[in-house]
Amino acid sequence: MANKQMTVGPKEGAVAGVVAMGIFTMFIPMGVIGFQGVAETNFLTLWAMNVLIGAFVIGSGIAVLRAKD
Amino acid sequence: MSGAKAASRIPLSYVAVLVPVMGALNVVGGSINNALKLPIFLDMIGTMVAAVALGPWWGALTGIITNVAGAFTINPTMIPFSLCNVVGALVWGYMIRNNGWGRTPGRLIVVGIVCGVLVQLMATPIVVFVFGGATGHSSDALLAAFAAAGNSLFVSSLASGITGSIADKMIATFVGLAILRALPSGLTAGIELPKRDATGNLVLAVGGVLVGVVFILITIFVVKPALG
Repeated sequence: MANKQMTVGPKEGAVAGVVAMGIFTMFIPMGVIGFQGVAETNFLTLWAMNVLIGAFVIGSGIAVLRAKD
Repeated sequence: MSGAKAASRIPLSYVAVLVPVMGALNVVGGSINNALKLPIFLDMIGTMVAAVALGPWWGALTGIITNVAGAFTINPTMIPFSLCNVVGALVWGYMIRNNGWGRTPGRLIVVGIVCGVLVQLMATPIVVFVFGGATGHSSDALLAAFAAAGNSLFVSSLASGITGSIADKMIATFVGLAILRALPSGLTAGIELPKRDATGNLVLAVGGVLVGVVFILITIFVVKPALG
């Protein structure tokens, strides 16, 4: 039996956008890593929160991908 | 409404190959630009290819991967500018792939200008509010010249970056087009691009680079001296 080729469409494209935003959210605090006067504990707290939010955003994208109409 | 008839479903294998490879192409372009200290960026050529071949949001994913990877290898300040890569991907994807704006070289020049302006509009608030005007990019000197001429930081940032941004997007559009035409035809089926036999790939890429260089020369020899 021939293998059916896996394809992606507009729904998966939108999920790619959501996952991209999740990745962006996770790493955005790195953009301010060189700023002077930012306390290390504050920075780590901000980064941890962003990682958490980013994980939720990526999770929501995956949930959309798995959702059945 | 959509004027083009790009395939609505794409083989997953194309996506799995193109997204990381185009992200790597962007990082290499950004590294070369960083080493040569050019007044452009060169980190969106792969984004253009992914956005047109796969779709705007796949291009956005490529852009974010580029800037996150670039933050580790080139400069940490690249991360907030991920949003510029996303804007570029959406403009190229929706205009060329979904609305047929890639039919002729003239239309592609319009796409490059629109993309350059919108990306700079996205970059300016990041430069001003996140970095206070100094990002370490070679356009900082021009920004300082505009600011010294009495303009606000926001106007200085917008004006100093716009010609470089348009030049960069013009180069990305035409070099990306040359890459798209060199890819297997199945990847670009239904997307309205200039006919393969009308102009050689090399001519298109060189032409795009020349248009971009003209914008850079305008910046260096007309805009900067005018500010004193």
